[in-house]
Amino acid sequence: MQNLLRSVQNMKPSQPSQPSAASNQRQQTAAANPPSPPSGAARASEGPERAFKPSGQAIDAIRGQVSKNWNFDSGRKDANSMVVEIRIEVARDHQVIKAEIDPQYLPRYRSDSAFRASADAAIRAIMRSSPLQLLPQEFTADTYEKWRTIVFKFDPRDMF
Amino acid sequence: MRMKILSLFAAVLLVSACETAPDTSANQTGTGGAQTSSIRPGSQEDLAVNVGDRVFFGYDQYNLSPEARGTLDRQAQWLQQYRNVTVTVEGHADERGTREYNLALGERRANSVKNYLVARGVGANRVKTISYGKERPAVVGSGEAAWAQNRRGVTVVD
Amino acid sequence: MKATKRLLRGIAGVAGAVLLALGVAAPLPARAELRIDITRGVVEPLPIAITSFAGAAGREAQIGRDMSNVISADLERSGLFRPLNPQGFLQTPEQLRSGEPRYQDWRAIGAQALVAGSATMQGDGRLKVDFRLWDVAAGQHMAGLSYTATPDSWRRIAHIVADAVYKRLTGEDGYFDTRIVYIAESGPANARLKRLAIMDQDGENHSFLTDGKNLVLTPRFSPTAQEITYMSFVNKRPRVYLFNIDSGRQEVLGDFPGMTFAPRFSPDGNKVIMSMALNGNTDIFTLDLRTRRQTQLTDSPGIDTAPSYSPDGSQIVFESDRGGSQQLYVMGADGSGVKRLTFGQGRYATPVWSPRGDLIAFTRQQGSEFAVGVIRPDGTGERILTKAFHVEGPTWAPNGRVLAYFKETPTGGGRSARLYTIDVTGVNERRVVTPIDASDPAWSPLIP
Repeated sequence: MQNLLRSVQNMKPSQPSQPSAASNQRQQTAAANPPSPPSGAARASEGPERAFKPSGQAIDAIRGQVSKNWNFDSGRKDANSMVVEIRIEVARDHQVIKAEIDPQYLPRYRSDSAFRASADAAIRAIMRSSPLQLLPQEFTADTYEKWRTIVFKFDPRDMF
Repeated sequence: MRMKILSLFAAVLLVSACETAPDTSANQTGTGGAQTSSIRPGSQEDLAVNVGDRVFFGYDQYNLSPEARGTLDRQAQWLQQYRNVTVTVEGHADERGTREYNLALGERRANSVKNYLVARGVGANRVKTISYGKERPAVVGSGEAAWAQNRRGVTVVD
Repeated sequence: MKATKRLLRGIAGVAGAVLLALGVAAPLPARAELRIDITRGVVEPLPIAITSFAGAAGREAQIGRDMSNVISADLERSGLFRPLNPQGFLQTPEQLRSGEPRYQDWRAIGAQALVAGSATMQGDGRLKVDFRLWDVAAGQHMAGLSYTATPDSWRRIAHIVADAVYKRLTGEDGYFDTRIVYIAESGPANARLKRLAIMDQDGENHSFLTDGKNLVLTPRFSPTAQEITYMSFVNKRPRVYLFNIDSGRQEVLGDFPGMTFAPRFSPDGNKVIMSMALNGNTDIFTLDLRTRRQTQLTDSPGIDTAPSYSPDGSQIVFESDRGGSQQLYVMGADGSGVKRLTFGQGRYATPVWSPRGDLIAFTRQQGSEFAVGVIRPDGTGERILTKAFHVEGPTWAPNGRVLAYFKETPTGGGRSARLYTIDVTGVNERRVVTPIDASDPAWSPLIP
């Protein structure tokens, strides 16, 4: 809890008028992340290191936890288009120490109030899911660097 | 089926015609019951009791049944007899429809009655029409018996 | 009605909504990253803590308490929020006014959002209201606003605050600072007394606009909420009328030879579209309110009625029995390109286009049952929201999220007529309490 609080307090509101850092990052993100395949609960993006592949059981535990905390309003206009990716950083004790909207979604976040509310709800889902339920036998200290960053894609497609 | 229903309440109508006041101009109803002797010739009461002031329609229909045409034949004769009488035909619908549609349906029904009377020789300028849609049922109640009596065209002496 | 006009003489200071923290970190080294898809969430009201706006004492304290209650009731009734019981709050309103929330205290009671504010009487006799909204889960300030107005408009300011909270947390405009005009009913069914009546969307500030001498039906608001078009049987001449809320002035619209009914304003407020019935045939017309020019849009031998414009004014949805039974049709604003919209079982009636454009609400009559439903303007996605012995006449809240309609229930010797609201997803049906029986509701736009 202390960790979480500290990290929350450290967060600074970003300035919409200074998008340069974000757009830099967006380019890098675009380069690092090839287009996502349309389905699949979890996969590792290509990178220099070998992919970390949790078991289906491990993924289901995380999905179940976050889904339960994701309050999604399916009645809003164009609800099915409210897809957002949240990039998070977890501590070794599985606390969420940072959650941020993937930079590629920032332009819409700034211009579309419904999308902003929807993305905020996704962040809330993550924050409420801290500490994440990561199976200890798979999410070990040895492999920490491989699961330190997790990208959650919130796509309400199964809610309609 | 409709025949049956009609005959069922035909008797009731004679009594209730005066009491279903909203269809008739208030100043026409008088105080009397249905005593033929006190009825003024050429009045609404005369029309209701001795001729029949209303015709009935099927669900969502505005065509005239043989019984309705019989009633209107008598109304036309009566109107020939009282040549200074002008009338307004009220079109009504039952409650099993939406408000605006029923206004249009009531107008269709009133117009069916008017057209028939005019075809029987009544001057078109003596017959006005008005639709009340489902706003003024003759019989209060929710059931086919009530609805059948509310789907009506009523000829009202002006 | 005096209350609706220019109550807010000033809206001051917009403490802009702050973007949620996106602490832009140093780019992470390119390494394998775990990706997880979340494709399902829960639909449940957001737990929200609304603290008292109560000021020091006396009138301030009363107004502040009342405002908090109104805000809380608005949000609760929307079905999207669950206000938490203030008895569980660990941090006092005074502490919140002077500092930041202790987020852990609010998380501990399950709050995900927090509203605090104050109502203070100023030296000039005006009421100053501040409020702030925090995202408790993320630990962020989200929005803050300040209003100055006359003290007797506190209720309206409370609705405006509730709208601001609703908008920031849902991303869609609120609908709490709105009114509903409807038909108040009394007396026996065969001699029903009907009066125009108006109230706030939550049923408060109720008043009657007409005395019941003439039968009145189907009121609808103008886009400015200053005028109402409706139908009246004045002198047994059923015609469409215009009613000015501020002046009480009433006038017949147009010089039509037959009965006019089913009126609605165009989205720009320049026209009223309506039906006229003549010689047994009903068609759709518009009346230009400035030039008073009448234009006929349909010319079918059937009943064409209940027209409603799309929010951009380019299309009109209406009902017609030209195909043999009542169904919905869409045409261009000039009457061209008529296309049938519904092909389902039953009769479809009273279409009304959503202010957000994505849906058309309707009444469906099938067998012995009436239903209120929605369908997309392309004819797909038909959904029934509620069914009953008799439900009719949906009207949209200005944000296109909630519908109101009336429901009639047979009782002993007559029936009851009541107003209800329902979420567009078909949940959260709520009664809107009226002093007497009620029908034909029409929701106003957001009050300007």
